[in-house]
Amino acid sequence: MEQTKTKEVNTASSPSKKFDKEKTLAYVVLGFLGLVAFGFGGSQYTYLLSAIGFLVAIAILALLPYKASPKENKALLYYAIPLGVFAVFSSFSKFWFQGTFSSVSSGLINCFGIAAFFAIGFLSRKMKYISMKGVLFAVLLGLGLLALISTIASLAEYGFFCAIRYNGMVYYYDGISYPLASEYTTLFGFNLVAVSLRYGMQYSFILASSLIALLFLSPKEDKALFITIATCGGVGLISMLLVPYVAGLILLLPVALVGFILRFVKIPQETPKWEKITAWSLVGVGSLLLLIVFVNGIADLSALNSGFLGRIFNNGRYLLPINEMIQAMFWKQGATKTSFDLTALFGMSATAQGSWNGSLFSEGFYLKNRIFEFNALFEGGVLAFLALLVAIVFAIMSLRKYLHSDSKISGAKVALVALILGWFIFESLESDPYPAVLYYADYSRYCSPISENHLFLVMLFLLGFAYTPIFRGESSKGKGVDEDED
Amino acid sequence: MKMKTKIKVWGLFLSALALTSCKTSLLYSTRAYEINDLAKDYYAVQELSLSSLGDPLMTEITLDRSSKEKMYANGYIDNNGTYQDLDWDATRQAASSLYPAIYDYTAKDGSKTTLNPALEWTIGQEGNDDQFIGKAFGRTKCLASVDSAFKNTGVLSKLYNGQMFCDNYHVKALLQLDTNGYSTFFPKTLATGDYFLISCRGGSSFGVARKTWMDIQLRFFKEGKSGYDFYTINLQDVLLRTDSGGEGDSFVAIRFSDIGIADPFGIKGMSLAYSNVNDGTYTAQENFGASGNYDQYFGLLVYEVMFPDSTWH
Repeated sequence: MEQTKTKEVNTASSPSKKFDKEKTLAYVVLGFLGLVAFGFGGSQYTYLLSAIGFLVAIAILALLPYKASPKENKALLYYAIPLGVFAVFSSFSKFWFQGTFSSVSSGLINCFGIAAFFAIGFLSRKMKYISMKGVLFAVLLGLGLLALISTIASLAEYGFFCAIRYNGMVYYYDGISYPLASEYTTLFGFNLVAVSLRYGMQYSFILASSLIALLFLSPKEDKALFITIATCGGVGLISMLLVPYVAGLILLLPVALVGFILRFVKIPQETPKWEKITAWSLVGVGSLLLLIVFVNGIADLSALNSGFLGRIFNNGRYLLPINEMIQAMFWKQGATKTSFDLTALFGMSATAQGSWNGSLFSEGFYLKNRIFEFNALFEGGVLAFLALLVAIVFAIMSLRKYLHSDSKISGAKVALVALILGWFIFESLESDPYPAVLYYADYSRYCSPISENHLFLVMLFLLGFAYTPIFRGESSKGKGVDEDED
Repeated sequence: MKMKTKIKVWGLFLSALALTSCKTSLLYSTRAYEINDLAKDYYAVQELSLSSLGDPLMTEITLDRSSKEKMYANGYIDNNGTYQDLDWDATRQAASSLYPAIYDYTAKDGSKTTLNPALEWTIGQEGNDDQFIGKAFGRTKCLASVDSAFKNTGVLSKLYNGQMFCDNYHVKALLQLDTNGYSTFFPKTLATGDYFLISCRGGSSFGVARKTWMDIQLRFFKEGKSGYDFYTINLQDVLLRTDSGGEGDSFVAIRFSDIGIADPFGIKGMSLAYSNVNDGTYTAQENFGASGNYDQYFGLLVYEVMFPDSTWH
């Protein structure tokens, strides 16, 4: 009792001590977030960032009191269930354990890393000294620096407008030809490395996406945020134009469309009926298409793989690797189709191969996949894949509520959502799990767009920060966000 | 500094960077020299023009089959007279017979082994050097392994990477030459080295396996006072296989000290050309260059150019 009393007295008599603790933790979180956004160490050391993230989350929970009502906790728990299932199954799977990629310890680090970054984001919003602007500055400056270094390095290597000037041209290295127009130089770990244009441009694309927030910001009202977004987003957009990265510029259109709709179309705070019907219709159509893809992938239906339907359901750019993936997951290698493999629930073997539509596909075929959700499928299995899809639906619902939690949509919130949206669109259509151009160089390796991607960790943080309950419970309005905006 | 000035400074900086771009100096159109059509795949770049030639460093060296003192190696897949088809001239000696030292390898720990000419590194094995260095003759003794500067030599890097045969890579593994051949500068200068070896064969659009004889002229250049001074070496009556598959190469090799070149150090470039092609009835019907009257095309297909056990600075 006496000891407790002494503690209370000490705390009361030295308020600056408590103040310092919170402030220090806030600096640590923001500094660490900036470092993660910068991709310190590259994909090879993402596990280190995950591990440090876990320690930071523990530190926040240990040093700062967490107060929430049971209802709030319940809502959070429901929201986090699919993310938790995804974290577990994507970390401990056939793919990671049967290959030479991983061990139990790295699975644990990855699993806790996913949970930790969401938790840091969620807890940061409740922290006194972490504001929405602070988070945006950390992420934008981290990404901006990475994009700027890559732009300067690429200009030095290829010059202006290389994708046009050198279209159809190759260079040779060690007797092997490489197309120049689809290459970019980026900071990859601690080296400047030639990577695919898709991989190298992801930072620029995400930064450019944030520019839609300028529609909601005034340089007079919030000069610092306006300039930061304009500068960092501008670096992203300019670097895309200097290549030019046409696919990325086209993909910016839907992001811009969302920005214009939010800015110029009056959408009520409470989700209107037409929006709900449209959203659930889209989910239904998406589910139906997914079902067809799975049925085709398992049964190898020739009707869906040739002619007009073949161009849709078996196109080489997106669906062919997915079809091969599903085929390799659900049928045991070298066996007839009577040997159905239910371990597909837990991922695909990293050395899987097989035949599809009359042609053989060899080991490593999955490197052609451009859709990160399907990386979750072969890395983590069907359960991880489904959990990720549910988590994405939950995130969209939560972000929608987050944007409309006040009567007026703030520019800072739009910037945060734009970063997540940009990342989601890019990784869903243009991700590259084997980015290095020199296939067998020392740094060349499989880079999972999920567990070996610092951007995924940043997005988890932002999702946690923007978390708004979608299940019945009390509002989790935090101090940082709304105070800052006032 | 004002904003406008800052923008100008950044613009100038980035423009200067872009104008000095590194990777754009040796570019080729996609499939250049790799169309897989003998009429269109001739590599005929002469980096060294006649006007930049200096003086001969010594009188032309001619090595023929009769001069026993001045032999050159000419072995089918570097075997020594044991051939299963096309009645190879068994009196011709392979590099493994004339210059066995080039197959010796001393590891960093001092252990010595003999390299295997049959173990073949290919471009598909890029990065897997651990499995080949110290084991495979080609990848161990190739110029790219001796000095990484040879990896960055444009399309000619195909000749320096240690892939000695086709191995199903076809035009990706070779350069096709007409009689004028090619000339090139090396990225560095030869410091030490006594051997020179090429892996080559004949190829034509006839597609009939046969033997082909030709004279090959090699020139090695050194920087001189009034241009590039040079050695000229004529290898007469070189025997090659034509159209007998991508593995039907011959290793043609010389040892500089054997033929009177005591100081090859300082070699900065080389040229290769050929003449007097004789492959029986086919010779009269074939074009040997990119333009010609006949429908059939012949080319010297070169897979590798090596200076085994050399050093460069």
